[in-house]
Amino acid sequence: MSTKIVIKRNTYFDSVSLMSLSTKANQIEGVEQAFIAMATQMNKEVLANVGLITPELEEAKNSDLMIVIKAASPELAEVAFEAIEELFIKKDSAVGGTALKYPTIESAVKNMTAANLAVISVNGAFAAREARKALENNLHVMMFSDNVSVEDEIELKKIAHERGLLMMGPDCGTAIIGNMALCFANKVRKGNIGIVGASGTGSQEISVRIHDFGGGISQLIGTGGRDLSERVGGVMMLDAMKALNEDEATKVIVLISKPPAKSVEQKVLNEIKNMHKPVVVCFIGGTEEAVLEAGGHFAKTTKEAALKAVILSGIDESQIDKHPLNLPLIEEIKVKLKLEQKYIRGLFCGGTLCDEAMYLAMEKYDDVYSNIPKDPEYQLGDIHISQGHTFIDFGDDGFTNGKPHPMIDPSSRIARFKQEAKDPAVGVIIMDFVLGYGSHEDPVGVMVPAIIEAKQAAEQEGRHLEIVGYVLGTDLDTPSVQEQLDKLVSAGVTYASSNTNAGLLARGFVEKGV
Amino acid sequence: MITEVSSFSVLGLVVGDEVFAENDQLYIGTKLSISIKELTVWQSSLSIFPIELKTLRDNLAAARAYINSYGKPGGIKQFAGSSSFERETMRLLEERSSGLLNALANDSMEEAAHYAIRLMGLGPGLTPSGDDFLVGLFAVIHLPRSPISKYQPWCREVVIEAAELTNEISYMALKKAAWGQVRESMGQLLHSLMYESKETMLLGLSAVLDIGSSSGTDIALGIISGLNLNLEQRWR
Repeated sequence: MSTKIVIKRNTYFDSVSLMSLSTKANQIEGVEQAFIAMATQMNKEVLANVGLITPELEEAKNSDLMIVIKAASPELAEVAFEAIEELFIKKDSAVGGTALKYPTIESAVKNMTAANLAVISVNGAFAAREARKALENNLHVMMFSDNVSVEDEIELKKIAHERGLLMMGPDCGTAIIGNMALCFANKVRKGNIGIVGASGTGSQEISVRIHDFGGGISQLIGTGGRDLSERVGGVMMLDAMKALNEDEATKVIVLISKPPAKSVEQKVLNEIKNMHKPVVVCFIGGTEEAVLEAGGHFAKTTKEAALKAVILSGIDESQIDKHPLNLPLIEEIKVKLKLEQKYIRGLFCGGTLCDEAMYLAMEKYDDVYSNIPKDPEYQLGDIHISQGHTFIDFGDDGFTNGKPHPMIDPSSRIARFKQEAKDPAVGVIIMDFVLGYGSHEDPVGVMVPAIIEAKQAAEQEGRHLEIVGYVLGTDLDTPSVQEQLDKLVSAGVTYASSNTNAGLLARGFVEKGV
Repeated sequence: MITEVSSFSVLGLVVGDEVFAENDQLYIGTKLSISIKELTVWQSSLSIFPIELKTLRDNLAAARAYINSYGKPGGIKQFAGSSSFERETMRLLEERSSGLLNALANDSMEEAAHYAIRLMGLGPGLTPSGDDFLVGLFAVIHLPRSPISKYQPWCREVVIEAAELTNEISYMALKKAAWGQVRESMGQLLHSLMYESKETMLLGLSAVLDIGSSSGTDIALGIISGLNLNLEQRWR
């Protein structure tokens, strides 16, 4: 183990930059621990307590910045230090862009007369008030904020409905309006397929699959996760369906959601009967009959929904690469796993991606537990301890309270991955890596060191640890899907071409005695 | 100086530009000049500690819950910590902030000074967490009619030590707070905790939590701890 210490004399960075640099430094490959802090006497005392103080650090002054890197070898420490230096250089040269900031919605409306949409991303306690102001100024609203009361949501959607505006959210993470990707959306081709989604990552997945199959998106309208609940009544989904029905650029419409409340599902399906465009319905875990009866096109999975939409949009089916499931691979992996390696552990950033993989597992297995189960009987007793087949949505409140979403900060999932990899009953770990405008800049890269370590440890114990990775993104995203896939492959991960395939592969790998 | 621009980069200002004053003008290189001729000096003013305490009690409970959900951990607010440095920092912050509050509750001023001095310069960020916590606590001690206002001379005594223990930027914040001078958002939060509705209080709290990275959370926890001490002292 080697420790490298660098003192930067009289160097000040604001607290936000310091914390951010420190977090990034800890994610550099080969670093066991890194910290960047002001060299005060008390911080030096902390270093002494953890056995890292040196004469050089003792000499540092209050106004100096200390960088301490602990790595496996001097070479790795040096490489890590160079990477940290690069972060400092980037920080220094990050001269702001030309975006204008307005302190209030009123001043933005006054100065940006062409604007017609407001993205609200303030704390939930104040989000409704800001959204109301935006609607009153005739702006469509995309509300990224969560923790907004259902009463406020109902009222805001009522105001929007009366004014002919969109009220996307609360808790709406994905939209593509006029080819402009908002919040977590991906960069996809412009086209003639419109999506209405009550699920952020579900909408992302369908938009990305459509892009992959050669289609494109006209609009992607998010509704927020509660829109299809009994109380909210699907106001936004119904308004969005009507809007897309009138939109000349849209030829086909896709609806994506977790299972809606029964009465709301009926309202949505009734609306399909009034529409003059084909509608593909993908309500994860939903049933086919009602959709067909309403004249819609049923899709059990996100992949199927995207494929049907692309074909309906006019793309020649024979020209589409459908990425069929790799059945020989399933047989190959089944042989590698021991009899006791019978469980799947799904560690997801995307809630709907988690749901989809979980429902696919539930078709084959009974003991499927989760922090977001369909049946409360299968709720994990302790969300930090897996049982049977376990599917975790790390974006759920139990994991995000006081912390950023795992698509931004992956640290909780990395820790859980290490825990699961040690369990001899685990056959396969499945993970999603979500690319998009607001997401982590290198979601695969931060996980790779843990993956390599876990696979090596399993091998030393004489077991094969199978890891399935799915990268949600397109060739237009930054980083690109290919770049991320290359990293997965180099770490020995099996990558899936879609979330649906990832779920199918995982459930196939652990199937015994067939 | 209060400004509404989101970034100085739009004015072409960069780190290292020369700052100087001449003929009632403040200059930043050749890029910006600001007239300081008719400036008035802003002083923070803190609201009087209330007689009726129900609002304060209710708001303190709501503020604690809000910080639990939205406050940034890593300083006084604890989290699991991914490195031994983080864990040890949080352990010391917890030990010393609790020690300080206990000592103040028992009027053991020497012991209180021992802990306060050991909080100075402790923790992550440009203004270390220990300093931020003290700034919040000092502000409460300076509320007019505060039951713990008797500790004002103690603040001034202990802050002398800070010059040697923390960086200049953080020292200035501590020094000012030891004389009851704090930033406007802190004054507003203190007022709203004592007199305003929960919604208004949360607006004020949110503004303080936005300070720095974890600094706002550390300041807010200093304020809450100080106000708790006030409530305890009243019932002695």
